[in-house]
Amino acid sequence: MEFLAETKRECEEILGRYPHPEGALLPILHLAMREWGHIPPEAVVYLSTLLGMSPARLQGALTFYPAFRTQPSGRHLIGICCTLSCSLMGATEVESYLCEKLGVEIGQTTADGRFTLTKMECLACCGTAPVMLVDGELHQSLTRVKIDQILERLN
Amino acid sequence: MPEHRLLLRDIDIPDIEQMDMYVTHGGYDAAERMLAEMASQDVIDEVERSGLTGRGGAWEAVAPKWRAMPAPTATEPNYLCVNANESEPGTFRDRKLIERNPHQIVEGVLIAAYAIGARTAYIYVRDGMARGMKLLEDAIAAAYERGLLGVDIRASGYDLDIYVHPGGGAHIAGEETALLEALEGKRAQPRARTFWPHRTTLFGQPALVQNVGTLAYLPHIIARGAEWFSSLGTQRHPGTCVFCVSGHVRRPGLYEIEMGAATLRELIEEYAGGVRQGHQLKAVLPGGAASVVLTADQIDVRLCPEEWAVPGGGPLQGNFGTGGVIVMDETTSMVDAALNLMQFYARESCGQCTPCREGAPWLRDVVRRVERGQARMEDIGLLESVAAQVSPLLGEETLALCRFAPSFAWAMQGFLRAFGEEFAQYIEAGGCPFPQDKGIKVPDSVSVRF
Amino acid sequence: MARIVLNGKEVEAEVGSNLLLAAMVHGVYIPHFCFHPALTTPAHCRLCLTQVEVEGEKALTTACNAAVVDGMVVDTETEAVAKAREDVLEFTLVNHALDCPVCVRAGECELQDYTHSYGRDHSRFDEEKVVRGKKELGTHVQLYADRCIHCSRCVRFCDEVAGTGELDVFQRGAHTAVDVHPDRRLDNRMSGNVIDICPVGALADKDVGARPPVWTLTGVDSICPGCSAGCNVRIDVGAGQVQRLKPRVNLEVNQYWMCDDGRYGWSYVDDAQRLPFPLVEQGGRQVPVSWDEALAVAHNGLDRIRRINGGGAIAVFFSAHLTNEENYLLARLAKEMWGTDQVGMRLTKDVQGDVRFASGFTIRAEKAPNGHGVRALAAGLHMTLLEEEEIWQAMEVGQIRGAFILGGNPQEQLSEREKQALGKLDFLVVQDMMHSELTRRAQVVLSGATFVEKDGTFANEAGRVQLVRQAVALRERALPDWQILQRLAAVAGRDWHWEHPALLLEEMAGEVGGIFAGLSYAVLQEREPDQPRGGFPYGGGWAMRVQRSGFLNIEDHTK
Repeated sequence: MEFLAETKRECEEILGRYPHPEGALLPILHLAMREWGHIPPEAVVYLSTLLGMSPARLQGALTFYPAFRTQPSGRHLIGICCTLSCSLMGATEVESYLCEKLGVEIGQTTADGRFTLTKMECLACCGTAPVMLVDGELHQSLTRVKIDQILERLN
Repeated sequence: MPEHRLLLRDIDIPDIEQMDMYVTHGGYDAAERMLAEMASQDVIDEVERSGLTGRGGAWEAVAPKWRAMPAPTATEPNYLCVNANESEPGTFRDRKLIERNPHQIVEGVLIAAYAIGARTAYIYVRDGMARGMKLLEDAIAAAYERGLLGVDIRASGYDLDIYVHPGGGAHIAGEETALLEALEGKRAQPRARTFWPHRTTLFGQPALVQNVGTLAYLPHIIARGAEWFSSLGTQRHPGTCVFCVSGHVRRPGLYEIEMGAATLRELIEEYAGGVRQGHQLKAVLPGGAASVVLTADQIDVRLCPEEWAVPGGGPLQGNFGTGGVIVMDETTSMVDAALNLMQFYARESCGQCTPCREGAPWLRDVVRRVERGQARMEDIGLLESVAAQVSPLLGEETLALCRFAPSFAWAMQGFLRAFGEEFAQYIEAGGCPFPQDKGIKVPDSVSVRF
Repeated sequence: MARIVLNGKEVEAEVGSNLLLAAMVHGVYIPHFCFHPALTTPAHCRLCLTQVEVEGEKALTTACNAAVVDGMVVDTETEAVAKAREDVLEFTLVNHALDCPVCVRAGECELQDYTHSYGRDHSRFDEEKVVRGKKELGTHVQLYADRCIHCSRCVRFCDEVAGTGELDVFQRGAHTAVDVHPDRRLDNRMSGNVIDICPVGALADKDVGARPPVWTLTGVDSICPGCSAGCNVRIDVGAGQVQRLKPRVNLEVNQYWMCDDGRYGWSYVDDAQRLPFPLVEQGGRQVPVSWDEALAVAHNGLDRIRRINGGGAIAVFFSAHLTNEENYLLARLAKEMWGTDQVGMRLTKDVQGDVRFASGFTIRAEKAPNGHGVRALAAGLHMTLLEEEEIWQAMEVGQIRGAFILGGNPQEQLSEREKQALGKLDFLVVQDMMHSELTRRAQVVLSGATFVEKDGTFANEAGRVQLVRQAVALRERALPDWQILQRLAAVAGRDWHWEHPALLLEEMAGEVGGIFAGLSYAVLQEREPDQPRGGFPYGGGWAMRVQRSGFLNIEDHTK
């Protein structure tokens, strides 16, 4: 498992920003997520040689940060904010609405591979709660109609 | 009521995130003048005279930290690390600043880096802020193009590179030393303090960590002068604070007020419109999830850390928190609220130190039992005891390695102190004692605006 | 030097030195898990919280990452400290599997000991524990993840001492777990050390089988015979047998460690192929005989060659697997009894060379403990050690007719060359501890001892002479090698009676000099880093250092 040529170039540039290649861990893990959608064990071995660290250390770091997934997920990743302000403004309802609509529990992927539903902690957008991330894009002031519209636009 | 907008002054100007518009509105004037006329020491002096304190929650004077940085050399550089990992529940101002006025931040970073002689600055932007990160990167690119970043900026002999470093979604990475660990390519675990003030380092070199919201003041201070800035707000904490109000208020949002200019009650009732119609204020978390919850009759405290007198206690530094105010009306179960926060803490604990790793889930589990009606009366005492064991409420000491654990310990004790009755009611009733449906329903089509 | 107050007493400590270690030196033991003097200090177990006051400022702070300054006031006996320890231990036990009755670590577990000494007698935790299960991490190490207390010593060991980085901490919060990368194993050649430094039973030897409880074991200080590094070890004996080897602390030799080859490579001492009695070739078979008979046959056979062909027709092989005292006796036999100068030493060297780890710990290429000792001995007695090849040549052409070979190599193997050469001999005596290709070619086999069955000294690659001690009795009629050689001399009419190798060493100090000059058992014992003497069961290198100060005294807990 290897980066595409263009990603390798991006990788090189990023490595140059830090006095030690290890510093590039987070940006390069994000590149890996963009490229592969998840980071399985063989990818970890590959990335660890790029970053100059042991595979165990890379695995330890990658499992620390929720942004990185070791298992494949659906085509679209939904993250519902469930912390206090969003909860006060109906996040629990957003959660049950999506679970019902998609027919999955939190953490699961729909049978057609379209969506993976997750819960996240505070997304720092409390003033327009409830909010959710869909493929990294933030959607605020959620209503049922809005949720329906967001999902409809995705294949 | 009037705000005093400094950081938020230009956020409604269309295209302010573009270089040309920012410059048209006086952007980079401060930085240019600094590069032309001021030495690093002059900048530090100016910031010291301004009295600027950190807005990341610690509220410590900024200039002494800068002065403590050793003079860099070619082989021993300094680093500036900007904390844009905003993840504290109830806080959402850094997102606005980054998404709406990224150049204000770039300029602030340039000023701070210059002051400490750092040639490289990393802006650690939280995961979940993709749009803001892109805007920040664009702003930085534009600054390079304009000759405001890079080599020998404005022929001053000063070089600076600014890089955006994307976070991984861990709240704890916002802790100063955890952020440095994350930048070094490791798990974001805070570093243990020794007895004495210690040097923060990145890859072994001196590093200054500063909150992005603090740095955003620098262009204003350099442009308009320390004297002007120090005339705003209070003597201990000059300037403004961008308060974040969320929860059951009519107008949730950001309100930039001079330090000490308003009370918590005024912020909630007059700026944020008060609780939604037909409801009563029940509880307020005045400083994000790490604060001690207040009851409705305890909110007449002035909004500045030095006058922060917790009811029943004395003045307390630190509990003022990040200025993230979460408002709860009578439809809110305090047990639910406490459980929500303990779940947050258990999930975000880095796990390296024993009291936090084991204590946070323990508290969560017991509160969950209370919520489900599976608790006994003794469990209230247990919650109190375990939380106090981690860190006694408003006490200096903690068993834990960093301030994360005291945050949840105080939050827990705060809920018990103000709403212990409600916990007891849950236990007696064997579940939620309130007849009505709690909380807000997700509306069908129209966003809830009270 | 700084003057500090430690529990009310004014003591001196080096400025900037580690407070936890300084306190230990002065007899104040501060309990801790994650600290280890050979590793970096994350200060995250929080057990070592101590009251420290500097310039009027008091704080409850971790001692493991505090540096001594002049005027410091340290108090480990306050109520706050006692409560902090109770509290931290209660938290530590929250998700710890209470496996004591089935845990191999029971009796030498730091968590057990500290809970007994500093903890509460009950836990208030009544929720569901996080369950992690167990896993084989590598060839030697088993992980019982439910027992892990997340001290991260094993992770830091692999990173900093071994330099191999196989372990890390995965996940976050209460789900943190030590593990290897999914496609990797813990397979560095020092892996067994993580078991020693694990404070609890989370990391354990695989395939331990039934072993007597650790508190019934007796520890005997000795030296590992696996290579020329001379790692200081402790042989733990139970039910009359060797149960395991653990490293002893010696900062100048092996620090706190031993390699897996030595740690797990001693089982040959109990091998079925051990020689229980001397053998003599009779009618094409090797037959057990009495010692008198064996020695008589051996002496007569070699003496005959000496009389007919001269002393130069006898070859003598020293052994780097045997002690200095034993080789010295053989040297005297060679000189005085057989008058031969055809002396050599067979020595296995790993073609890969020395294996050096990140911390400097090195597994030596020379796969015997006393090569340097033999070389120093030969030099001191003005005996030239011939190249092996020279001796084989001389055997081939019939110049050498007989040989006396000291064996002792558990990996004994004859090369084709050796087989050829030895096949030409009229008479071969082999003194060894196990049947092998070598012993099967001998006319007389003298059954000797392994390193656990005798006293003596080895000299490591740096010329450091160290004490080897008998830990278990010899089987049946096997004898310590130094006794065999004396008895052989007696058969020839020599009046040698050194009652103990200590007396031999004393003679060597004068007769041989060199690295032996000025040595005696008293001197060597003095040089040994303080370790408790036999009878104290405990785990691993670090715990032993703690034991040294007398504060982790398991004996008390059995009273």
